[in-house]
Amino acid sequence: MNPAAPPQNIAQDALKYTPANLQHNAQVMLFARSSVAAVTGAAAGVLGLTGKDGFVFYGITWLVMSFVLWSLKTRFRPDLYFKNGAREIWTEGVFGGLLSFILFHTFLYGMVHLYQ
Amino acid sequence: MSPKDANWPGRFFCVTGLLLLSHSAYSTYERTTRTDLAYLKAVDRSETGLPLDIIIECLVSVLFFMVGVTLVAGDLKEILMETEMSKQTIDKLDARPSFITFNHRGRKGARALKTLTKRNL
Repeated sequence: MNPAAPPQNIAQDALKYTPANLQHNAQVMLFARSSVAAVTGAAAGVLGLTGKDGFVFYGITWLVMSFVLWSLKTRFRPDLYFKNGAREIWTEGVFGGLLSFILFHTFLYGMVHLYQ
Repeated sequence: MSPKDANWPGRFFCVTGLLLLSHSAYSTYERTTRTDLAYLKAVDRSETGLPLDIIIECLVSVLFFMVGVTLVAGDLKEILMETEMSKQTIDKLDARPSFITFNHRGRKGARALKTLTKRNL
């Protein structure tokens, strides 16, 4: 778990961790992350946040969502469920989420504010 | 969304969040269409000044959806091989398609475990 440790080889990892469970956890996180990214994008569109404001909004909701996952999903013990521990909760998939955020932002912003 | 469903609080939060979000979207839309658009555009205030209740409703809907989707997403599984192995039985680990092993170490292991736990009591 120590981030400063040298990278272990794959064979050792396969003995230490259960690959099926690793995959399952990644899938659960991806599901939660992408649906929340879509909804926050829609909310930003409704609020009419454009430019820098939208990115700031995304950053704030990302932090809130990370906290919710950290507290409700891993019960403050992320190293039981992820190879990289807390880092996987707070940083994994920021840019993938940003893309769906922009997509839904464009959709809702256009619906509510542009085309009357 | 029946009470028998184990995930019903999560589903409830998700649906409430989405309903609130669509309501706030509709309110924003109605507000911008009902007010005098030409006047607002003229004084260049068409985008600013969303009423506070709509903003709050929007943010609350996002929070609801976050909690809901976290509850719906299903439980994480522990990744350490050690904890996974401790859940397995000897029959599961020793299983082969062609032969059944009757004289395996499981019996000895179970007996040893029993003595050890008795001794530690």
